[in-house]
Amino acid sequence: MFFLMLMTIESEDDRAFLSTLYEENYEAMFRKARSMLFDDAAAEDAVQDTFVYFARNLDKIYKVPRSTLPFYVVMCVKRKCIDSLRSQKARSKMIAGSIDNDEYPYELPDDGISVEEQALLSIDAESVQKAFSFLPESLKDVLRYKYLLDMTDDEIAKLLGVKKPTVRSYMTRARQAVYEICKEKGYV
Amino acid sequence: MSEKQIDALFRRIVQNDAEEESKKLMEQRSEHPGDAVPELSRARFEKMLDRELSDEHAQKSKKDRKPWLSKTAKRIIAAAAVFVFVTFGLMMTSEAVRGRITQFVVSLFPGYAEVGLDNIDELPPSDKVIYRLTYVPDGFRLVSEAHDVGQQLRYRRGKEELLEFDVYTATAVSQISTDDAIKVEHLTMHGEDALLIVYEDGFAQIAWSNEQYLFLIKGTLSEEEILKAADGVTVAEDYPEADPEDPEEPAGTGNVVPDDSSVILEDCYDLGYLPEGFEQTYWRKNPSQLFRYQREKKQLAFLVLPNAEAETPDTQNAVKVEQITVNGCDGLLIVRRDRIMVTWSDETDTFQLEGNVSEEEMLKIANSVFYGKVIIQP
Repeated sequence: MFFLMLMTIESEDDRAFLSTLYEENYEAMFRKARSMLFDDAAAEDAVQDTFVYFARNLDKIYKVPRSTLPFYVVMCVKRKCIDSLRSQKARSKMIAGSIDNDEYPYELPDDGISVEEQALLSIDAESVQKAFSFLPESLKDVLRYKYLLDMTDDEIAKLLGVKKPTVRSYMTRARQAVYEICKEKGYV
Repeated sequence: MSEKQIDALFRRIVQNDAEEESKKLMEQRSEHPGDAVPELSRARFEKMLDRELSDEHAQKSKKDRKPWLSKTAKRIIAAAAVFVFVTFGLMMTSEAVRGRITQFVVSLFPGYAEVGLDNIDELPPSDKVIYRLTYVPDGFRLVSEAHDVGQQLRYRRGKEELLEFDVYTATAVSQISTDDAIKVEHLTMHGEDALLIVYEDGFAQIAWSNEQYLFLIKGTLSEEEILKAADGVTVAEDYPEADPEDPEEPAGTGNVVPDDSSVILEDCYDLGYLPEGFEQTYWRKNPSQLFRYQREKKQLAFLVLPNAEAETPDTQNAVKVEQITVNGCDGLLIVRRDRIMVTWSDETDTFQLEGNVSEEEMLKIANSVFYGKVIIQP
């Protein structure tokens, strides 16, 4: 009997948490999904599917700091939209933004950390933070998938429809780009 | 050490950025955000919660219960059962019992299935086993073939999609994962017991046997496609006897036989069909793949680019522009006075085939493109 009550209480807490999360963030999530899918019904599906994911991964969601939760849930619906677009055989340019080879024409290292990435460690954190804000969304998103949504390289590769080594390249490119922006802005 | 420090640095940066973005989102929120949720959406959400939260707790309490038999114990029992079954079969000598006692053994365990063929009849002769698939879904091309023990055929569609057809002889046991399976079904194939497994990510497997062999087909196929492929398995009666002196024909290269001066390109696209008389005159793999061919005054060029680098093809002054499908992908046929271009894209790459052969030939060449190993002769 007690066990049953415990289950009910747990369930009610979870329900209350998810309901609040839903009410507070529905609008922002729907807007983001709508802007990517150009279809109200598809956007609604994306929001609902994201909450199915939350319901099945409550342990994960509870660990996200409250201060980042609104943006976290919007990134989750964005990920869902990309999945949806990818399954419709959309071109990768639309999905990942244009991670254009010409935009940052740096030579990528075969493995290991590049000199530019290492140099970031000697720049003050505030400047690096500012430089990050100037990154194109496509490169920011790749870093967000890894460091905010805690996705593995395999999961990111599947999401973007690329191979795992390509994800490593994107990461390196994004981090190198932050360094180049630091240089441009005179933070170095 | 640097890698960890850089990871830690970017984790902090991304988290701080997420906080700033969250603040902006909260500022944009209306005073009563719940009022913006449509009634239908809310009803759907509540229903989902009813379903998921009761399932979640059912799963949790199931996980908490200790299984009667641990996974390891079950696997040991399964392995022992197979061993006993095989040993028992091999020990039998009576002529009355010998004969066709061939069983297709299927055992289902949590997370995987074991399919096996136990044949205590004499082993089949060691001649080549030649089975063919008379049906493969559109766009799949045969990229490799092996006849070591049994037979293995490999087909590809684009870079990511694979179809494997394996034939095993005599006593063979294969373990097939059932994790993420949305369907595990016993059925009949070619009059024999079969096992079908369909996965949630668009992958499927089917296994069955006849008197002598165990058949496995698996790949990125729908249930309908894999059943059709299995149903279309047939013996290739007209396959020529291989001359042991001849080297095995490498995949995807027509009749090209590699020698010491050949260049082998892995993970490339190649043309499965070329009109007669065309020879390769140029090749390049990086930064983008480009192959050129020529036959007297006729020319062909085949270019592969990542989608991010491809530009929209120029259709000005074209005599005809038509939307087409190539290898299951959307494409364009652009006909000009002096040449024709066929261009199409899959999820990662854009393909451009340009030449001054007939429209029919161009489409045939385009639809023959496949992904695999390419051997370039000097």
